[in-house]
Amino acid sequence: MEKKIQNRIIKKFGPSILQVKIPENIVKNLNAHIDKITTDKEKMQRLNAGENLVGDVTQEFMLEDDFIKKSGWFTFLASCVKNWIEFETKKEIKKFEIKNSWIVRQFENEHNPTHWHGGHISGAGFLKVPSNLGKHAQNKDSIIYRGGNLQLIHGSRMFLCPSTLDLVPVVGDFYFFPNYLMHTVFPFKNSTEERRSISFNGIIDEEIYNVYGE
Amino acid sequence: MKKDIDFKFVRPFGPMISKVTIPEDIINKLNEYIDKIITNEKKLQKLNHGKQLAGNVQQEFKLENDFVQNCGWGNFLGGCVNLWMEKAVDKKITKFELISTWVVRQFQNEYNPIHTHGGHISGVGYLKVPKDFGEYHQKGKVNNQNGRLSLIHGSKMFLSESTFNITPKVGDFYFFPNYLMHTVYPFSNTDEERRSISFNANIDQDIYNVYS
Repeated sequence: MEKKIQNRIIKKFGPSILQVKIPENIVKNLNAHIDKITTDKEKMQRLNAGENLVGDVTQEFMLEDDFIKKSGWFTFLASCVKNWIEFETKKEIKKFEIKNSWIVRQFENEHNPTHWHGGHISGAGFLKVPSNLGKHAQNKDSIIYRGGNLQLIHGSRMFLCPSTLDLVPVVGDFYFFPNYLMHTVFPFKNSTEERRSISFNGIIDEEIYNVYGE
Repeated sequence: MKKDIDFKFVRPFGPMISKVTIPEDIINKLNEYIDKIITNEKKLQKLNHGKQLAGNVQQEFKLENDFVQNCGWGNFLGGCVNLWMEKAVDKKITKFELISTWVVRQFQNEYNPIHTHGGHISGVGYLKVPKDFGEYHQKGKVNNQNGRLSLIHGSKMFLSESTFNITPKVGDFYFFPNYLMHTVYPFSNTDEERRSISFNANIDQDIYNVYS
C-alpha cells in the first residue's frame, strides 16, 4: 500500500478482552495463601469446587470471601473491571460483585475442555507456570505447540476473521472477558511443575450487561 | 404444552453435519492396510502428514490414492457427500475431488487442539476406539469428555448451542463443512489406540460459494 494513502484497519466485532498484570504483592499473597490451604485437608474439602467445574485437573477450590477482600484481590478486580467497562461502553458501573473466585491446580497431562462461565464478567490469570511446557509428540516444528496455553474461542473461522486466540501463560498475566466467551486449556507435559491459575465470575449493573434492552 | 397444540422445534441455523456408518468391509480393509503401513518405516516416512496437521499425537499419515480408490473408501466418501448435498442444499454435485485422506493414531494423554480444515467438505470417523477412556483426576465430576470429538461453532447463548460433543464409536463417520472448528480431548489409563480417519475434499465451486 502506498504511503500517501491514508488507511486504518477496523476490527470492531467480537468480544473485548482486557489484559492486565496482577501486582506482584497480590501474586505473592495469593500463592502463600494457596500453599497454606493445600496443606489443610479439612479446608480443602470445604472449599472444593471440582464438582461444579469442568476441568480434568488435580484440584479446583474456591477462595474465601474474607481473604478475597483482605488480600487486595477484590480491589484489583473491581478497579480493572470499572476501567475496562468504562473504556468499552462509556458507562460507569455502580455495581461489582464477585460471585466466586477459584484456583485451578493443573499438572502434566491434565486439561480443561471448552467451556464458558456464569455471571456477567469473568477472567483468568496465572500464579505459577512450569518453566517448560513440553513439545509435540512428533517432530513438527512448523506447527505451533499449544501445551498449557489458554485458548479463547468465539464465532466461526472465516477469511480475515480469526475465531481463536492463543495465550501462553505467564505469571502475573490476567485476562478479563465477558462470561459467554468460550475457552479451553490444553494439557502440557514433561514437567512435574504446577500450572496454577486463578479465575472469577462477577456481576455488574444489569442495565449495562443487558445490551438488548427491556 | 397442551397435547392438542401442533408444534415443532426449528433449528435452521448453523452448519449441517451428516452422520453415517462406514460399511464393515471398508473398516476391515482400512485397518488391515493401516496395520501394514505402520510396520513399514519407509512408507511411513513417505506418507507422514504430521507436519501439516495440528495434532499432538503419535502418528498422522496419508492414505495412498490407489488404495483409497481400490478399497471403496473414495466411493463411500463421494456417495455420502452426494446424498448429503442433495438433502442439505437440494443440488446435485457434479464434482467430488478428494484433496487428501489421512489417519490419526492417538494414544493416552495425546490430543488435537482446536482447528479447521482446508477444502470445502471434511469429515472424521473411527476405526479403533479404546474400551475405556479413563476417569477424571477428581471424583464427582459430572461430564467426562475424555477422548471425545468436540465440534465448535458460534457463541454460547440462550437456546443456542456452540459445542457438540461426540463420543467416538467404531464405524461412525461425521461429515461437516471445512470451516467447522473441532478439537479432540485426551484420554487416560489405557494403552489402546484411538484411530480416526479424516478427509478434505472440494465440490462444485458454485455450490460451495454461497455468496455470489
